[in-house]
Amino acid sequence: MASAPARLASAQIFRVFFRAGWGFGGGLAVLALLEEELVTRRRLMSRADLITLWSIGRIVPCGTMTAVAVAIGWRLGGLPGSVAALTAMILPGFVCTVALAAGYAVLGHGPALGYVRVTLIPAALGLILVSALRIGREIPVPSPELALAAAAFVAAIGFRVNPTLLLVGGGVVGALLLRGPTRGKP
Amino acid sequence: MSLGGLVLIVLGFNLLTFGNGPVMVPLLQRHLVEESGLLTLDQFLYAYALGRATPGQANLYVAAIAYMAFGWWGALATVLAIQLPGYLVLPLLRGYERYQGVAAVRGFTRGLTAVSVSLMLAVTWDIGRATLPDPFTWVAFALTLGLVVLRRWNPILAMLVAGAAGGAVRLVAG
Repeated sequence: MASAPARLASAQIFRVFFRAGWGFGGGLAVLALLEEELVTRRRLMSRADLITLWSIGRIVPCGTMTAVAVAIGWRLGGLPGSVAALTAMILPGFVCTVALAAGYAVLGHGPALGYVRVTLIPAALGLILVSALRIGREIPVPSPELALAAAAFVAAIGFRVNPTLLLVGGGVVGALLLRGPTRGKP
Repeated sequence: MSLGGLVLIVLGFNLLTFGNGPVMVPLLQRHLVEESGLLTLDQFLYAYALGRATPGQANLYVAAIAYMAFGWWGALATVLAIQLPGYLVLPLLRGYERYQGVAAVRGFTRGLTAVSVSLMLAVTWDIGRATLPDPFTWVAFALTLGLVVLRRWNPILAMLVAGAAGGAVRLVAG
């Protein structure tokens, strides 16, 4: 985040986050789409920047992607940019969710939700995996980070340790043991 | 329970659970279904399933809950309650940018990044374990991976095409 931040018009910010807001499968799917749009396509920030923002967003007491949208929107376009990012990101999910809530009487007992489960959810899962693997390339092999990542994975899956606790713990371990310059790819 | 009461509950639980949608479920269920009877359990679970099935963040299901109880204004008010705390990120970020040259802060970020990757893989693992035992889901999952990684398709397009293919297979075979 040391480089001079790129700027973007609010309308553009709105467009980028509106597209990302269509990610099915929760916040990580939205992150995957944002990564595609901001890093791969438009080169507005580095992948390392995005994952740092996501990590910081994770320790803010609100939805992680909410914090990420505010942070990125603010960096690219100040207060109007942050409002544009937040509104655009929520809009698709908000409208779909409330519209379907209105249709509870019809849909609540029908087969439609079952179809979503075998179509859009697993497709979103594929996107999340791609995104995790892309970000994983930031970690050099072999390295202390890799050991830390492996330990965190075991703690999350095997012992169900609270994710926020894991992140803060990982940060503290890093602050104590990983003080040298990063050896990973830029 | 009034709309103001609901907004306060959502605001409080959201801050308490760091916006973690699934963690809020047992808390909200006790307050909204068992104690105040604002919604039936069926309505509540349907609203939660919607949050998972629709695009965007999973915690938007609170908007569905509020809509069922109070209509559009309720949905708008609760969505504001879960989104506005996002601005707390700004002071945190400013502090980070000021001190990012300090060795300990750099180390903190490296540790954070390593754990973040693990958490994303852990979530993939969890959702995969819940959904992939259904053989039909593999169609959409594998096709999305193939289209995005090998064919470099636009992710949304890949997701929609793969989803449609999975649905078609289920329709024909199931």
